[in-house]
Order: sequence, then C-alpha cells, then structure tokens
Amino acid sequence: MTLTTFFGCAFTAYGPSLAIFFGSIAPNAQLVILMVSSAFFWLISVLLASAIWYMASDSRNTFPVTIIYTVLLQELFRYFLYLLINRAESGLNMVAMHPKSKFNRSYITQLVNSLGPGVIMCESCKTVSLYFISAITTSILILHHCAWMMISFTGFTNRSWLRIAWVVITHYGASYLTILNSSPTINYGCAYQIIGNVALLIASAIIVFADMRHLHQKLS
Amino acid sequence: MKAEEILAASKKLFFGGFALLPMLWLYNVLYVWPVRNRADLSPQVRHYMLLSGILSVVMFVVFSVWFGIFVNQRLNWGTTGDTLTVVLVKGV
Amino acid sequence: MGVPGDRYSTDMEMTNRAATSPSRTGVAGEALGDEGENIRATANRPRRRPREPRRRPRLTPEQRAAYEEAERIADMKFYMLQIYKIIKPVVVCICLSILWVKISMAGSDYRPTQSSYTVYKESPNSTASQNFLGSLANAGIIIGQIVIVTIIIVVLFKRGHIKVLIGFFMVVVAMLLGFMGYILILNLIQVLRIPLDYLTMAFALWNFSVTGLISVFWKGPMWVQQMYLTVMSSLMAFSLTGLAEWTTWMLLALLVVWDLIAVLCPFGPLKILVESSRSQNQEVPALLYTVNAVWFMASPPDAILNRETLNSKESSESENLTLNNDGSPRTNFHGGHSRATGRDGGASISSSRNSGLDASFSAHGGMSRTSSTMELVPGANGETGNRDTIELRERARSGDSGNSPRSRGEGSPLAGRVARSTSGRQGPNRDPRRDSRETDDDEEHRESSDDDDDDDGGGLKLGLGDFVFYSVLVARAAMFDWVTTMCCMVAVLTGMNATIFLLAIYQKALPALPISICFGMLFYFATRFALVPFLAVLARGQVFI
Repeated sequence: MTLTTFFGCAFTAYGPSLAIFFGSIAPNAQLVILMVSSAFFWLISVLLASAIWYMASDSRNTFPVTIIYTVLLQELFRYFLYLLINRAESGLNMVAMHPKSKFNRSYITQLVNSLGPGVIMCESCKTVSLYFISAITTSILILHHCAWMMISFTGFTNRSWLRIAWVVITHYGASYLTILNSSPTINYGCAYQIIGNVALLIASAIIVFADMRHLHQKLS
Repeated sequence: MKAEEILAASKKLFFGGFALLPMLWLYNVLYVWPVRNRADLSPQVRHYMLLSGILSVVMFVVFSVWFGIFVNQRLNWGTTGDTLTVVLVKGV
Repeated sequence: MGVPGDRYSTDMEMTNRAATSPSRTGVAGEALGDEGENIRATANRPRRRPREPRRRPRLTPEQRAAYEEAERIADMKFYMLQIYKIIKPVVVCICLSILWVKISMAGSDYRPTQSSYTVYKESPNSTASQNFLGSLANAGIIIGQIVIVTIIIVVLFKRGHIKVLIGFFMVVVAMLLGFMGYILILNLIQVLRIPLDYLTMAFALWNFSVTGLISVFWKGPMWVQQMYLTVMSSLMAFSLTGLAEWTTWMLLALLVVWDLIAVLCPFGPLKILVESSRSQNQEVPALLYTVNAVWFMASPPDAILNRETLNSKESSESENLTLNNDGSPRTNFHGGHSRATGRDGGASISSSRNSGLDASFSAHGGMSRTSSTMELVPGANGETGNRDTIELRERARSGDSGNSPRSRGEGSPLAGRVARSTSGRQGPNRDPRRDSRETDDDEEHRESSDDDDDDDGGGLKLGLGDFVFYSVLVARAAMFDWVTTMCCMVAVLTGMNATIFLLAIYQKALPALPISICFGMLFYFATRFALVPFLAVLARGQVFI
C-alpha cells in the first residue's frame, strides 16, 4: 500500500515534468544544457533563501516572511540566468538560425521548459503529511515554473514590465495560496489552494500561448 | 570491417561461448546483427550468428528452469538448499 | 588472464583492427549516402585544402569578422553537442551509483567496508579535530596510492612496456567486474530478498565479467562497451562509498588538488604521460584508447598535446588556426580513420597507424591514461585513479562531427541515426567556420610545424576517473538525503559544463574534477545544513515556494 502510494504520488508530482523532459528537452542538446544551468541557478537561489532562513532564527516558522525573500530570490536569479543566457544569446541565436527550421529561433521560449525538471528537487522531500495534496501541488508548481520562465524571458527580452510583474505577482500568489494547506481556520484550504493555483496556471498558460503564437507569426 | 574479420571474430565468439558463456553468444549476435545483410559476408557468419542465438536462448532457458526449481524447492532440500543459497533470505 | 592470453588478444586486436578499417569506411560511406548534409560535410574535407587559397584574398575585414563570429558560434554549438553527448553517460553512471547506494543502505550486511589501509576509524564520539586529522591521514594514504600508481603507469608507458600495462588493466577490469559485481549482487539479493544459488550466481558473474573484458579490450558493438564502462565506473564508485564520511570528503578535496597538479603542472605525471605518448606515438596501447575513445565516441585522434605545447600561450583563436592547419593536410585521412574508430576505439589506433598519423595518438594517450588509471583503482588498491582530463578539441569540425557520430552509429544503427542527424544539423555551421579558419591559417605560418602533428579529433574526452569521482560524490550525498542528492547532481553537472566551456576557451587539456567537486561539496554542505531543515519546515507547513 505504501509502495503504491509512493509511486502514485511520485508520478503525480513529477509525471508532467518528466513528460516534458523526455518529450521535448532530452532530444535537444541546447535545452539539456540550459536545463542544467537553469536548475543550477534555481538551486542557488533556494540555497541562498535557506541560508537566510537559517540565520533568521526568529522567523523560522512564519511562512509569509519566508516566502517573501524566497520568491524574491528566485525571481532575481531568474533574471541573472536571463542575463547569462543573453550574453551567450548572440551565439545561440545564430546557431539556431543556421539549421533550416525557422522555428529554431524560438527555442529560447522552449528552453524555458527546461526549468521544469529543474524544480524537481525542490519539493522532493516526501515528508509531508498529505502526500497526495503535495504531489498535486508539486506538479502544478513545476508547470508554473515552466510558464513563469517563458513569460519572464519574453518579458525581459521585450522589456515588458507587465509580464515581469505578472510573474512576480503570481509567484507570490501561488506561494501564499499554499499557506492555505496548513491553515487551521479555513476548511478545505487545500482545495482552495489547488483551485487557485490551477486558475493561475491557466492564466499563465494563456499568456504563454499568446506569446508563442506571436513569435511564430513574427518568424513566419 | 572485412568479411573475414567478422567471420573470424564471430567464430571465436561462438566457440568461446561453449565455456559456459552464453553471453558471448548473445554478444556475437549483437555484433554480427548490424552487418548481417552485407553481400560479401560468407554464409558461415550467419550460421554462427544463428547458432549463437539459438544456443544462448537454450542456455538461458536451462538456467531459468534451474533457478525456478531452486527457488521453489530449496526449502524442501534442507541443508543442501541452504548450502547452495548465497545469502539466506530472512523471514522465509 | 594469463600473460599469453593477453598477448594473444592484443595482437589480435591490432591486426584485426588494421584490416578492419578500410571496409568500415566503406560501410560508413554507404550509410551516409542518404544523408545530404553529412555528405556535404564529408565532401568538404577533401575540397577544403584547395579552396583555401582562393578565398583568402577576397576577404574584407568585415567578412572576416563575420566569419569569426560564425566560427565562434559553430564552436559553441560544437561544445554543446559534446556536452550533450557526455552528459548522458555521466548521468547514467551517477544514477546507477545512487541506486546501488540506496539499495545497499536498505539494510544490507554486505556494504563495502573501509579497507584495511585506512589507519583511522571514525567514530561518532571522536572530536572534530580527531576526525579531521584521521580522515586526512586516510585520504592521504589513498591519494598516495593513486599518485604512485599513476607514476608507475607513466614510467611503464614511457619505457614502452605496453603489454604489461594492458595485462595490468585487464586484471584490474576483471577484478572490478567480478569482485565488485559479487559484492553488489550480495547487496541486491539480500535487500531484495532474492534467493539465489551459488551456481546461478557464479554462472552470471562469469558471463558478465568475461563479456565485459571482451567488449572493453577486444571488439564488439560500441554501445555494449559503453554500457560496460558506465557500469564499471558505477561499481568503482560504489566500492568507494565504503569509506567513512570524513574520509570521503577529504579524499575528494585532495583529489581536486592532485588533479590540478597532475594535469596542469609542467611536471605533472598526467601531463608527462600525454607528452610521452605523443613522442612515442606508436607505442600507445590500444587498450587505453579503447577505453577512452570508446567512451567518448570516438573522437579521432587529436592533437591536443601538440596544441598545448606549441601554442599554449596563444589565444584560443590562434590555436584554432593551428588546429585547422593540422587538420587540413590530413583531411583526406580523416574519413578513413575516424570512421575506423567507430566500432572499437581500437580501430582508430590501427588505422591511424596505417595512415601514419601518429600524432593522433597523443590525444588519446592522454585520455587513456586517465581512464586507465581509473580502472586501476579498483584493482590494485581499490582506490584510485585519476581522471582527469577532459580534453576537447575541435579541430576541423567537419572531421569530428562527421566522424564521431558516425562511429557511434556503426556500433548500433539506432544510435547511429541519432548521431547522424545531429551531425547533419551541424553541417551548415561548420562551413563558415572552417573557411574563416582557413583564411586565418594562411596568415600563420604555423602550419608547417604543426603538420606533422595532426590531429583531427574532435571529441570531448572525459576520463573514467571523473565518472567515478562524480559518482562517489553524489553517492555520498545520496547517503544523506534525496535533496542533497539532487543538489549535488546538478552541481556536478554544472561544474562539468563549466569545465567544458573552459575547455572551449583554453583549448587544452583541463582537469575535470576541480570545478565539479568544489561545487558539489559546497552544495552538499549548504544543502545539508541549511536547505534540508528549511525544506523540512516548509514541508511540515505544506508551503511551496
């Protein structure tokens, strides 16, 4: 029974990201490398956050405070990653242009998918009590990260503050929603949390698709 | 690779397999398989390949059968069964 | 394996391979037939030389700049492909090691233990300084063994006792596969509660190790060989997880230092090995190559060394030029020999020998030592190895990109297709860069000097030692928690990528361990002391960030 639960939860949590990984990232050398580097950057941000948490011994158990700097750090490092990639971008774009497919140039949006699996380790500690809820949340958050990656990169590239703001705000929103999980006063907190997160995810996905369509039109 | 080379190699692998090495036979099959349709290959090579494949399957079946017998019968064999077992399974 | 056996097989190997190469080329050519791009790539090679002079005069500075740009991009792409190719086996090896560790931790009585040569036994109640000094002593002993073995290998190699080396490696590989395989099986069957009888186990082990020996030292499908090398590395890593925790970290830290010294210092043994293999190229044992070349898909021989010595001071660009120069004269050969490399690394040896491209060995030599050392480790003292170098070269890209995939492809058709398509993709990029190089070349007169050195290989090579120690680090992390495991894995992979990009910049053999291991250790401790409790708290509150 425990074994089935384990596998069920594991696949619920990581199934979508694994599918993305094997479907679209693994066959592409650039994406694999980008995935590793984005995972690395993400890790650094989380490590820094945990270092801050470690030092701030007073507020260790006040989640709202924790979330503030954690999310901020993550977005900051997302931007650093963008800067890094941007430096290499001229090279990358050119590379992408050489092959025949004209859509290659848009790989930078795809690349972003790469973050998906990178997030894996974040929630991979299985020590939660409501395993299944956390599995679902994990999977939603991984998809969230993919969407945020794409939106924010488009935002950085086009200097579209709206998109960047959207990413930051929804990131906060998603994180704060998860506080509902453990809320003692609200009934069905986890249900609200999941519904809210799915709504956010759908909104992000719409933005992503709009952007991608735009990009493709521009290219063709 | 020259046809003779393949022939020599697969011959060696084939005879090597008789030293209780069905994996060599399997290896032989894997080795020859990609080039099996080459025109300049002597039919012997295909022969060896085929034989190797068959023999390795036979060996595999033999050992599977033996293993099945062992797993099911070892408790009935008493000390003999225990001596044969590498690591005594706890709880069974 | 007795001495006669070794001799026999090695001799075989050489002759076979020599004979083998031409026809293989033919096969490869056919295979290529359907691939437009590839053809172009190959076709370019012969043409390249003649074309060069024509082009030069036409170039304006802007054009040149554009070419340089294109070249840079092509480089980038090339390195990316290399990383991509290398990352897969590394990840597999690491995952296998994690698997072994996790399984063996689930209550097995047969975990690898500290060997008798560790002088200090860690105990929970000893103080930090005791632990520190004791583990330093332990790790120092192990490192000392590694150093000694490496030096012995270098000496043997320099003296030309290749047969001895080959025999030695065979024994080591056999022991690793057999003995560590045995220990691993004990772990597996105990934890998984499989009743296994001695008969079946002996049979399976015997088959496993003999096939492994044959695939590594003789010939056979590439992917089998690669599989065996990966498994061997993970077995080695598994055996090293028996070391106590402090000792492991200390060992990794010392290894970083040793790696730096051995590869970068003027008198570093590995560097000497590389150089000597270059000077007496014909003597490079096939085994070594096989071990390496195989691994990395065959990069044909390269002239890293040459490069290193000749132009170490030069900017990467000029180096490229050099390479190019080297490459161009030989271009015609590339096809033959690189292709030959394909199935078994060994092939490259013989073929290159035939064509008289001795220099090509040098690069391999470098690799080989690495990997070879690695292998030694298990056998002799159990520890060991070195690894070390990722050498990347890119030289005529056409040569390599065409070759390496192809070679792989020959091994297994499936892989071949993939590889081929990648090379195809790369095709177009290559041209501009090559041209630019050529143009530049003319300006340099380095050509003549380098010509003899040849090189063409281009592939990235990573010693098996690196595999082992990456895996050791991650396996050690896996003994703590999943979070640390994943963090260390990402850190190690990132470090590896960074090393490869550095290679792209410096164009010479670099030690592969330092960056990865430093990242890995940093992440391990950060994760362990901050992230894990942090995540535990978050998880308790079901909060996601």
